[in-house]
Amino acid sequence: MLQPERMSKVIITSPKSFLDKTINEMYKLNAFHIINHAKSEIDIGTPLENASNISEALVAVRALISNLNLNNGVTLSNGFKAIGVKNFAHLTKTTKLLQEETASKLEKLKNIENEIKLIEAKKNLLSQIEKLKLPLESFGSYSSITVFVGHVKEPKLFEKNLSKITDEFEISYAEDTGLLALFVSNDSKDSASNLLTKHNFSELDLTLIAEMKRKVPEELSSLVLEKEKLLNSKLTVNRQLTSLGNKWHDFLLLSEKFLSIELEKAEAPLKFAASENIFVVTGWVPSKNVEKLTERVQNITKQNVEIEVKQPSHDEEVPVKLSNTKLTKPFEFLMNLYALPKYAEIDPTIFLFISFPLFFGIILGDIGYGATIVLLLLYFAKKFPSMKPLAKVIMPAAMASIFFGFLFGEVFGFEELFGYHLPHLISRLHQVQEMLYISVIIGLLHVNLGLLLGFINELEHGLKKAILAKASWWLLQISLVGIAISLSGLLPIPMYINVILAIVSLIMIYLGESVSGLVEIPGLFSNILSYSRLMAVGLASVGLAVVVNGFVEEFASKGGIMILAAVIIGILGHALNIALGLMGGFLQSLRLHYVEFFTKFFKGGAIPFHPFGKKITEVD
Amino acid sequence: MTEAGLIAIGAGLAIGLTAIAAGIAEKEIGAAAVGAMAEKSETFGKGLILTVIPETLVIFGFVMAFLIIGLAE
Repeated sequence: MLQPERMSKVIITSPKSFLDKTINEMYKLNAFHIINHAKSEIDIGTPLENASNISEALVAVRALISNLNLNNGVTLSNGFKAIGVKNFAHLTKTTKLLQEETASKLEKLKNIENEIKLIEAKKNLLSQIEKLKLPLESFGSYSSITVFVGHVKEPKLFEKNLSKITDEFEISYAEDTGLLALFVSNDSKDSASNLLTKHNFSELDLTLIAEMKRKVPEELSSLVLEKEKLLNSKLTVNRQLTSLGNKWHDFLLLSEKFLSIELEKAEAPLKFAASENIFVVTGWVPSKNVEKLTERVQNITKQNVEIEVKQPSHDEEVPVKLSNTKLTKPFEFLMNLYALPKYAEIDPTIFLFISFPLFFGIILGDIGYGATIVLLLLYFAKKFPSMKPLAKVIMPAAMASIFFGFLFGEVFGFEELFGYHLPHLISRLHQVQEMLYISVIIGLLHVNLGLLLGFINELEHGLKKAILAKASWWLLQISLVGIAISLSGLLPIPMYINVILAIVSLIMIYLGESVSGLVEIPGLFSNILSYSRLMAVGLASVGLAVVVNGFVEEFASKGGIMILAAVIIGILGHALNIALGLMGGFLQSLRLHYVEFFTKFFKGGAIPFHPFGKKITEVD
Repeated sequence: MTEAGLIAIGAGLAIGLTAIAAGIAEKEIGAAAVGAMAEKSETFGKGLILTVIPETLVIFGFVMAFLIIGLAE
């Protein structure tokens, strides 16, 4: 519990003929963290022979899943067998047929969509042309006349300028859009074209509607009809796709799972060392699983493999799997947010479990707020399962809030309810100084607990190192307390003893942690004083609550409609304060652990334990 | 102005100015930490620690403010 899961190094050496069987057993056991074999004199293994087929099928299945818009909703309990996924030939055949069907449907859909786009373009053109109030056939081609259709900025001005050059033209335009249709005799074509260019003419391409000969509204309504037809057939194809998706939903999703498992197995030899006839796989196995693994692998290979089990040595990088009880496990969430402890280090999860809610409770110690957060958590954890890990961490913290709410005698910032003064051990609002002392004392204890854990961690490097690096800090603190006592004259301790102690501790710190340790000395005090935030942030939270309550009372005393305003202010104000308090309490408490506590002992940075395989019974 | 008023102003300055100083320092570290986190989310813990280092300033300011208020009694 205080340490990560104990690991053993396991080396399996076996003839190649047992490769797939061994991989299967390892996969099923789901407890083997494979160490990738780096290519050296001994080569890495080659994937199992069916790997390329599997990955091909997997790509096809994944493409289908994305084309049919399937989302993951299949639990493996539906079973691979029931749905016929396990027969690989059947799977590939079905997938192929399904792929063809889907592809043709998607092609159809694409064509329909293109046609719809075309119709939209035609409609757009027609509605622009409509404003010119000309029959459509007039845009055809003539032998002696050139037609220009397009936009200019000021058609009126253009007409004026053109009439200065020639009078052999006919023009019609829509002033609001600047669209014009100009019919000009071929003789003046060039000069008209030049003038158009000067007026920023942009031509409209009429090829789309060149075939249309009827009146514009008629053409438009036939286009609308055509579009409706296309939309209908689009709907039909979409419906077919959906029903196809529904029908094959389970099959495809299960295939995907099955194939990715098979692929992972087939590619596992890439991590192994292999020669022509044997393969060697090295990895980490939780010590409690070693026996089971050995037994099962030996069974399936009929005692033909050599399994070597070693204890980890000091300089090895062992993957870390935290091992905590059900109660403290949720707080591994906070560890993962920071870093995993190294294999030889203490796993501080259990301390987080104790002091995180404690600090949170002191900061947000209010019966009302705590209860509200508990209710909110119950609701959200049910509604959003992804919030669950976080909710499990905050839940004990909110309980602590309620507990400290009783100690402080606070409900929504009130110390008095309906004339009844809540009993309290200490009032945060009125005994600020006492709260400050309590906070700093908590800090002193917590930081020294950190030093104690650091001492235990350092024992790995020998008692001398541990005393120099960690116990020296205690000596420093003792000497400083001694100096304070001597100065105040409480006890007749000679000053020189304290000074000698202090100097000795400084030398020890220098020897244990070199210069960086000496630099840390002011840090120790700021770390301890930093716990005053327990009081300060809490006081701010109560202060805000009191202000909100003040407003509410003020408004409510005016009566009438103001009572409604009072209720709204009360709800909004306290909601805001709860949100702030939740965030503040969480972050400040977390920070006290990460910054003040962890830095005393925690190094972290281990690689996480990733076992090869999955816990699935249906793999068989 | 009474002596108590001056003492109160002194205490306010002690905490206010240190808070501004910490804010200025944390602004830059915080921005860099968020940048690092966007690239690599595992850096959250380290980022948080580095970001709050200047908070020591406020804590010292807070203690000073407390000592200054003590003068009034």
